[in-house]
Amino acid sequence: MMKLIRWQGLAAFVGIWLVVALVWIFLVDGIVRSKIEQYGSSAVGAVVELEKADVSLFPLGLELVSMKVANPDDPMTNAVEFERAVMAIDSGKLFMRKIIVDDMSLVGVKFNTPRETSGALPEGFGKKAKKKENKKEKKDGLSLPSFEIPDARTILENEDLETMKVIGDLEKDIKNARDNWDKELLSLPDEQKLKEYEKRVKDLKKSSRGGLGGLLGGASELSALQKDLEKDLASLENAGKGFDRKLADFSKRIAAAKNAPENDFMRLKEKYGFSTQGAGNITRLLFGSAAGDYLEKAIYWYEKIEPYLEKESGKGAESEIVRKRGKGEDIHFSEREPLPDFLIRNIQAEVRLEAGDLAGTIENVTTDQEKLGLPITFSFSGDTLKNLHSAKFSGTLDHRDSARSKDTVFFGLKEYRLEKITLSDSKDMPVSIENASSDMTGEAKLENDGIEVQFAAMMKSVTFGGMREGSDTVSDILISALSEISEFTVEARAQGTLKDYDVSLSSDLDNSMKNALSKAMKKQSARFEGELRKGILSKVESPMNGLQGEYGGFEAIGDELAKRLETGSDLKSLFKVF
Amino acid sequence: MLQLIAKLLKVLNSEAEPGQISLAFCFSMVVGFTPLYSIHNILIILAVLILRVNLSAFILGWAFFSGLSFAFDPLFHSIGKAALTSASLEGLWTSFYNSTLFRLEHFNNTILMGSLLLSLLFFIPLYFASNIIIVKYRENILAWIQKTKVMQMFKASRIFNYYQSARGWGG
Repeated sequence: MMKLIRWQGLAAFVGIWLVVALVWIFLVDGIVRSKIEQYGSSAVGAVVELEKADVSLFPLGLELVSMKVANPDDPMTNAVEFERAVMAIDSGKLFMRKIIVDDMSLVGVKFNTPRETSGALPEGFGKKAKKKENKKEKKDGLSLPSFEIPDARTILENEDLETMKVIGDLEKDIKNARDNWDKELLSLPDEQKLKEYEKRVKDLKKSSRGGLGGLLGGASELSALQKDLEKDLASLENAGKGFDRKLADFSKRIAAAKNAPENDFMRLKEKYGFSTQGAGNITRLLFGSAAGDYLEKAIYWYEKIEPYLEKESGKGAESEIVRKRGKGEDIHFSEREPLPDFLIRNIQAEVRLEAGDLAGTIENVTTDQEKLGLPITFSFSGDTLKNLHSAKFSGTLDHRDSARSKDTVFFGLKEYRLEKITLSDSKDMPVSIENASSDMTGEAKLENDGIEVQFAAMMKSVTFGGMREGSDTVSDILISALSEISEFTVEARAQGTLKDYDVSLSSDLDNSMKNALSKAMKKQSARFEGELRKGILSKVESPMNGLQGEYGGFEAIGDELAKRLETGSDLKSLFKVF
Repeated sequence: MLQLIAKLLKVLNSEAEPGQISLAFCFSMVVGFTPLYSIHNILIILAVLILRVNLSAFILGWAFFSGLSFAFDPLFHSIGKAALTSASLEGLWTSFYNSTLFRLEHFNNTILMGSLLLSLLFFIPLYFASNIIIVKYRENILAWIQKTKVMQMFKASRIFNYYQSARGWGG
């Protein structure tokens, strides 16, 4: 038996393993560190840096110190970094090729920290970072129409007044009628002719004193004379009636012409005056862009982590036979205790934000929720934060069934102090919130590809800023109206798919602004209306006077007719004597 | 330096019986065909070092069979997949799958399973075949090689002298 055994070989074998163990003890930390950096960089598409990795054997654990993950879309920024991560690894499961971490603590997590060197990967290393697509066409924010207070004089110079046309036409008609009636008067019996009737009657009276013959002859002549007079009086009466009708018509038209300036005023006021309609969309103008940006950012980061929420399905796909040595296909069998290949059951994390620290837990982190049977859940809160009374974030990422995935996130911020927040950088209407206190709540749901987001904010003790002074533009009126508002609520809702969603905003700011704008603009409107009215009246004064003059001249014809008719009527009494 | 090389040659060629050489070839076939970082290969290397098998033959055989395995990978995969997906063996594989040692061995990999099965299958036939070939070689071909000019020149070299003297020190 002893002849069969080569003791030197045993010594060599033990020696080799001792060397391997020593090498492992001294080098394993470095190997783990470089492997994490290598595979991490490949997975993320950007540089992953790890200052130190410390592997412990009893118990099996890993400590990572100062890890930084660069943002593939912004290489000079770290997407996330942490100071220290300590985890205990289940050694039994590790031998079964499963990385199961029961507890992990993550300290000093920070987001969006600046880098000193670029985190971009060299060409050909790992997966290419996809350029951030502008998936959603940014709808241009509403712009207020140009609401400059118009100049009444300029308006009247450029606008034709209906009044002037009415006056012009009427004046022309009156003049024509007057000319016609002047001609008519010439054809009608005048005072002279009527006086002749009186003379003839008197003459007849003298001639009838010469006896019966004289009496009989005078009566027939008188009768003829009376008939002539009645005929003339009839023509005068008819003419009078016709004239009265015409006069009445002109009188009506003059009354209408006197109302014409008011109609012109209303028309021009409507055309050039102010409307509060634009103020009804003030919420979208101020908050629309920000709402869209935040949602886009949230979707961008969700799409970054989404590939890691589900195991790549091999269903229906032929497994590749890799010809590389040692590769092949792993055939899986039922497990007594089914577990994913990678699982972190519980992470206690401390997140450092500018406002302060949030503490929380993340549970059941795995790429194979289907096998584990539990969704990823997270819950963070903080109540010793700068500018913030308290904050809570929680949610569930449920991808147990990839065909019916459901992700929900809730958040609540209490007494969040906002300072110097730019709402609009439009040159027409620059607006910022100088300071405000707000309570915000939000809920986002993502079921398969459909997204539904609801957000509500109650803003208190609001002070707006960014306003200009010294201008009379309506945008400044809006800004001025904003300054009277110290409290308002904003609600936002988004619905659609990840690639195509609509954001709707509503706020009691719109009504407040409308009311405030109406009040503020009343003064401006009154001034404009006064100037406009004065201008119109001034413009039509002279033509109106001309019209009145023409009408007066026309009325005089009526007086003449009436005078002749009166004279003729008086003559009738002469015939009665006989 | 030459002494060192000679000592190494001595160690490598110390077990020169046909059976020792054949066993070395058989072990090298297992190590050469199957993926290197497998648990069973640690045992085989331990066996090679402890048992009196010819180390030169093992090293040469390892290189040879490793090269051959690249061509046989698809065959290994087919055999391994057939074995692992066999319904009659599912119970066995399931119990292995829930065992830490076998999971560490990565037995459920098709190439590992196929290469291991094939090398175990050919282990004994290769042993006997190698034995016959080595005996025949020594009887017929070795004497002819000893007479060639190349061999004569090698025997005259210093390295051979050192080897000869080291050979006499035991083993």
